[in-house]
Amino acid sequence: MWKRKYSIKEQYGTLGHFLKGDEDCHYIGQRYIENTNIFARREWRGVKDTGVAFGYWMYTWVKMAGLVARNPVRMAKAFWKYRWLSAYLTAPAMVDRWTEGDRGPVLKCDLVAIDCMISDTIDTIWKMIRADRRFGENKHTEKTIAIDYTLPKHIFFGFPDYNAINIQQQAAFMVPLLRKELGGYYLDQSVSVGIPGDMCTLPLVETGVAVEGEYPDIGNFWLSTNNPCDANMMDNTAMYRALSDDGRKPVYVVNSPLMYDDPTTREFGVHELYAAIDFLEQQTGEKFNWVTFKEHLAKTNQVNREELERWDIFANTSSATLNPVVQALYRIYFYQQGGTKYFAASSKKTLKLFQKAAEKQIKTFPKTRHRALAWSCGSTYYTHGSGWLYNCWGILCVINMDSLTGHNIIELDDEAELMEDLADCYSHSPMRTHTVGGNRHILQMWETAEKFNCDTIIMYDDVGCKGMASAAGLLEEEFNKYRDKYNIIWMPHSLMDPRIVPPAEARRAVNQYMQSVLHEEPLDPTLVDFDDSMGW
Amino acid sequence: MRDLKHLIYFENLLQEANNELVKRACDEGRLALGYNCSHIPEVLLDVEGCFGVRLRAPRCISTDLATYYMTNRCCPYSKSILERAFEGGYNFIDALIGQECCGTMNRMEQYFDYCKLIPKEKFFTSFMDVPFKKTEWYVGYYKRQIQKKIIEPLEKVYGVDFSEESLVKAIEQHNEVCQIITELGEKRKLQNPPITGYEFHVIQLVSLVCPKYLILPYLRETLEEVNNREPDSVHKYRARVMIVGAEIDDPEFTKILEECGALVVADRYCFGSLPGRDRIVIKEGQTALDAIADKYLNENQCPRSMGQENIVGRKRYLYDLAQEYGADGLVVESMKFCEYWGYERAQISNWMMDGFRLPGTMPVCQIERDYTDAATGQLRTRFQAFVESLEIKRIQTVMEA
Repeated sequence: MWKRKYSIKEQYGTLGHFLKGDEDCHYIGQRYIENTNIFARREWRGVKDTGVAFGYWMYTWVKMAGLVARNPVRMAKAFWKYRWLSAYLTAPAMVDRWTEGDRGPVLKCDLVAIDCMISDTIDTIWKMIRADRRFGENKHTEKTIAIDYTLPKHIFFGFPDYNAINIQQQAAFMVPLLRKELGGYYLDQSVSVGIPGDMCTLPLVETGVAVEGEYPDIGNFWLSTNNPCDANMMDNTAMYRALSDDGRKPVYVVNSPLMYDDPTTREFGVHELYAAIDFLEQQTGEKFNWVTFKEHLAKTNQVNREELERWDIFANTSSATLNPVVQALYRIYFYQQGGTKYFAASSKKTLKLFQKAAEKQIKTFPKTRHRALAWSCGSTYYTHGSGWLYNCWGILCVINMDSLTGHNIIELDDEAELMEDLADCYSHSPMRTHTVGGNRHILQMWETAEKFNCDTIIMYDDVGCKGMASAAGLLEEEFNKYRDKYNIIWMPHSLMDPRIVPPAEARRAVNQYMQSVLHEEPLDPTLVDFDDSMGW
Repeated sequence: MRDLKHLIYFENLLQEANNELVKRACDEGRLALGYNCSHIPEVLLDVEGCFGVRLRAPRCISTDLATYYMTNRCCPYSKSILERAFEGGYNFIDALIGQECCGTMNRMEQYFDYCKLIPKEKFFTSFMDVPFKKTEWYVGYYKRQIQKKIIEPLEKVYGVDFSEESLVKAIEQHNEVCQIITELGEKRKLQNPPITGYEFHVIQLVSLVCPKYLILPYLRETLEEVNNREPDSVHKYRARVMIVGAEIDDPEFTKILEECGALVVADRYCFGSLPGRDRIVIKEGQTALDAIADKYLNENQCPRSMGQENIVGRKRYLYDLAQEYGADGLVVESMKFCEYWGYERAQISNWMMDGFRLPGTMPVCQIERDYTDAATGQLRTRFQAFVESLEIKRIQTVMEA
């Protein structure tokens, strides 16, 4: 039976604080069921904010129910066949986890962004399941194309009758975000067929889904890519048999140059786009529609312009209204999906909230002690770790490495420039922009930290990432040059598998730095040391 | 069999990157150009006034400094090269021609600059962006990268001559080396070859790490010797195998395998001769550089090549080689933490076992190894078990027949 560690009186002090939810310390950790991070009860955020959060939480359930209601039999079969799909049943809990401690405009803005991602995910899952041959072939089957999830969708909008599905996005990448232990299951499947388990866990999970035969069987061809790194590139070859239906479906690879900002490689990226369009024209029998393509790019540009405005507010004020967890995921998700109707609408709403808070000079994260830049690839199973950093220690990650990708504005009037800009966007994918193409890209952390007025670097240490591991000495030596300017805190993780580096270990590394080096007291003592090994 | 006359000399040449022949070429005023990957066109580094050296770190037993720079979770080959560079083992090179093919190797090569490892004023590193596919367009792109990243910097910094005549001359010399290695390799197809896998491995390695013009006389003599060599009448090997995989620049690996009773008849790995030792043919209408780009991109069998034609083609190539050389099975090895070969190794094994997109099936032994041969005991056990399994399979096949 769950019991309060701090009484209501101790926590809120006065009725006013209780009604507004603006108490000094939220004591978030005391709501966790023992050995988990699952809430024993919903977070009380004051009357208004609790109502808003509950409303969106319910709305998530309604949307999920709506997904099942579209075709209950097909969905039931999908749940039976695809283990990963069960993770989505925990989506409402994910909403709560991602908004822990949020209040006022931050809560509202986060929920708008999360709602966008949920809507887009539901739409994508439905399109996949609807077209899946395993549950019966239909008119949607051949019109729904599988593409690698690190490949942005832009060019597919030139084929408006077709739906491109980032095939690993929902089936692999998102899974540990929802239920952290599920990634490990798929990782084990990869290892069981002989792939070494000491590599990046993300492609291992993707391959594991293929080993289990759990990618929906859609379309008559698929597109892969070399993005973002060597391991992800190799998982495309490892999944070849599964995704090509044992060679029956043609596969086309859309590559991006690794040394992408070297002028001698620009032709490569552009060539790849034209070649991909040729392939798609051959496969679909349709002519590439430049009008719908440019319409989509215009929407993408608009979201990117709005994103740049949001970054300005992040960089120059204390009034940004997206918390670090949501900001990071929203940005990555947008990169992959492009300016879909969900992002076009939600981006406007979030920007308005940003601008409003900035105009009123609201300090949206009032407990901030340190403004941080999160660098290197972050964890999926501990995405909410950046939320913990703020709630426990007041470290606000104002921006992170993988957000700073694919934000170039694409020229629409001149075709040659358009294709160059798009190739540039394709080569600037998350987990790639700063990790390939030369050490100088990693070292952009200093100028980014300066630009965003940070005093702290949260250095994610993905134990499976060879690209970053091989730069460890470079980073240490560079850190030594900047130690008087920045607090640099390593935060270990294993990207997709919490069995290798549990979230508690990541927290321990930060706690040690904050207590031993900075001698700071935690903002929320209930969050310093807790066991969430059995949680989601 | 009688020992090869130059075998010990060759073995000694492999004890140091800066070996006797390298020193002699440097003393003669030639530029030493280091490289690490089969995507770098070796022949280009052997034009007049230069010689290419594929970097190795023989007898490397500890990688302490490199581990600081690259952690203990990275490719031990790259770390060993870096460690040797810190030790001053490559102080003789005048340039490092690198590539961004594999992230770890690329980082290692960047440390040459970052840590200023080579104490030569004009030393520089240059990196190529190598494409992932192999059609005509990509060959053109690869050629343009060669021009920008190899030819132009070497011309600018050292005034190296890359004229057509110079390239043709380098190709002729290169082709002679290839011809010798190929002829030696062909002998391994015989039922009782006059050359062992170990000897061949040593010869192939010296051809990669020594100046071609200095090693050629020894190679010529060795070929003649092997042509006239009488193999032992009693065959001591119990199986024939092909080695497939990542960087194997230590012939001891082959030796261990052969000591376990498996004759190594074909070598499809990064330092191996298949497919790297095919002659370069300048076709009609091609320049020498066209022919070089064509060969080095199209023939490369690195697992980084993408697309179904390459994914399927690589396995088919292995299967065909195994048939051609009469291999009973494959030993597929990957360097620990190697992402390319870690995935490829598992796929090769699965495809060969299933016979997927192949005319038949093929037994496979998968090995994950370190750069140094520290785990020789474990390797021996694995190899012995594999050889036994191949023997049993052969006996069963005979009995079934």
